[in-house]
Amino acid sequence: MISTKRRVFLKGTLAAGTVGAAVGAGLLAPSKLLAAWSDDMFRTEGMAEAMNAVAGTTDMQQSDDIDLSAPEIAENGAVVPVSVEAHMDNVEEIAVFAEANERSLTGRYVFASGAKPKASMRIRLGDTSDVVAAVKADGNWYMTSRNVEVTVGGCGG
Amino acid sequence: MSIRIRAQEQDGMINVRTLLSHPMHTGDQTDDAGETIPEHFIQTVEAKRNGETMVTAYWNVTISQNPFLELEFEGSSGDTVEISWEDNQGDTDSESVSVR
Repeated sequence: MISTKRRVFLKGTLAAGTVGAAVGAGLLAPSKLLAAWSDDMFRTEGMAEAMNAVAGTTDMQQSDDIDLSAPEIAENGAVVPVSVEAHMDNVEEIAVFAEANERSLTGRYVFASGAKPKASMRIRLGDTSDVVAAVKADGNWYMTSRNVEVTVGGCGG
Repeated sequence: MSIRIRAQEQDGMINVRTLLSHPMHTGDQTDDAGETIPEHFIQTVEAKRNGETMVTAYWNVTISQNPFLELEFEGSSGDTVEISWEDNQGDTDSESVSVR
């Protein structure tokens, strides 16, 4: 279903001239134009690929205005509680990455106006990992990170 | 499958805590017979207030089994909060509660 949507989207933009030309030439990744679930973001091999697919860059400014809460030590990597709250204006999106997971993007949260830019979740860590919270505010990406030591990994089994 | 939602209003903000019943198979796990269990995971979650989307979440296989999610958005006691999801196999579920 996802791939069908994407095909329809591509067909639409390819017919639309300039944007279509840019997509066709590989200048714009379709994922950056389509705010939805996409293989480009979620089926990746590592952090750089996932970050690029989500934000178009791996170079994000460190920010103290992002609260990221995660345990220092997780005995069970299958269930690691993570909370993110952004204390900035005009937050469109929060993305949570786990550097040690091959599919590094864990989740994206897109906020409508009236929603507080915060989310709490439980994630899997295959190994000890930096957990990165990235926040898109006013069109720019900011990030903060925290290391979580995992005693027993949580992806296989 | 089921969805449990707790939605409480305080000072004009609705705090939503939800538990989604779902196996969230990563595709790396094997069953008792040693066969690989295909990936089966929630990809999209929508939180709506009175029919209007407030937050959309997109998830990977690395969200834990039986996912927990906590969100907050503006609203009042008596509003309707709906949580719905769709997974990679096309299964869906949704549930609504009245905000306390």
